[in-house]
Amino acid sequence: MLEVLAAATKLSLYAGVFAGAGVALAATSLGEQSRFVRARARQIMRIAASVAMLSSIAVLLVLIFRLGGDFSGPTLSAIVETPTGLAAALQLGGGAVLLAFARSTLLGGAIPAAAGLALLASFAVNGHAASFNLAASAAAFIHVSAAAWWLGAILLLLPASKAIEVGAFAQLIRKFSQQALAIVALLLIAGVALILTLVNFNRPDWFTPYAQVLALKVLIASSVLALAVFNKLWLTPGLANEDGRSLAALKRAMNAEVILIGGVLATTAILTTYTSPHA
Amino acid sequence: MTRYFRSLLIGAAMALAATPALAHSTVKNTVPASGSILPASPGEITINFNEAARITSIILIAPGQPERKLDVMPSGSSTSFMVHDPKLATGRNEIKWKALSKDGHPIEGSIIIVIKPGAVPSSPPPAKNHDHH
Repeated sequence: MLEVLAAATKLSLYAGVFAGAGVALAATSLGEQSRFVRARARQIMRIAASVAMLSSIAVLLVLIFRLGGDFSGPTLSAIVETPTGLAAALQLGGGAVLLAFARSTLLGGAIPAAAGLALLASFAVNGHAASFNLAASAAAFIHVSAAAWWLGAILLLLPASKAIEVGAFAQLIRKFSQQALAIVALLLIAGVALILTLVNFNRPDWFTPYAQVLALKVLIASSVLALAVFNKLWLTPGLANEDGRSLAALKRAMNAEVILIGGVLATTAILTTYTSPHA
Repeated sequence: MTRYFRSLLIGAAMALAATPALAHSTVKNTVPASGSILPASPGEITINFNEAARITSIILIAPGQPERKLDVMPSGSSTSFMVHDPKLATGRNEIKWKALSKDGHPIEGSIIIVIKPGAVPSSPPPAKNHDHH
């Protein structure tokens, strides 16, 4: 039961952090938005930051119960004095700043973006990768930041597809595609590096439960990537001709991407709760 | 561009692969070993982990007695933890522990020690320590 709660609260935390940080990063990188899209971005950031903070507290409470549940000195110091406490501080601090400064446009939205990076850094200071070495932590940070940016950009493009005319939307999509080339490449490089670190392929029985769930995650992530390639090669060119059918198909494809990214996050919650790289 | 990313990937993989693949801490051994049969309660019980962990809870379940919390030293992060004078009762004693692993995951396990007055001390093969996450 506690494991199910742990996985559920982690999924909620991942959703809050990725959506909030992702929208903050994408809003900064994609630049000037229409008033409607800006308002929607602030709304997503505020809701996501609140979800991230509440989930972070819930994750800590579940962890305390899994450690014995007595709020004793050893349990509390095990949390406060370790990377677990640092991760929670980054989640609560980053979430609070994102909530308070979601409206800020100072320095082109640098404050929400910095708060988003603090939220994402929480996954780089604690967990499987962080317990290896600094390089693995850095790879985890790059991986989660790029994935969050991707989700955030789609969450911004969806309202933009309704609010702005097709020509302007096509321009925004072009900008997104240009940035996505480099960011998705980083996402893949960091992801492959993490797999090579966390899965010991030298073992004859390397396909452990951890590797099996990881393979499922890679499969879902690959389908998001395949969908993104389809969007870029087949649907985006139609937008330039102000083709209404291409726009409708692109919206459906982006909604599917959001659902599939949700699947990736759910698989990650299962991976980090139920399995271990060396079990 | 492709060559640049390929070099980056190889470099990242080499840097990361320099560390052996271990994430959760696991128990290396305990003294006495789990499954031991002893003539009297040992003076101390030691739990050795493969890497630093923090024990947050350790309780003794002994026959005919209510669950009892045991004091463990040190209270912070360590690879080795000791319980002094656990006062194990005659019969089957289970020492259940919970800890926070280096990677932030909760881990738990138990040590079974049977106290049988007059018995010749014996311990099973080392693999009998029970720990999981």
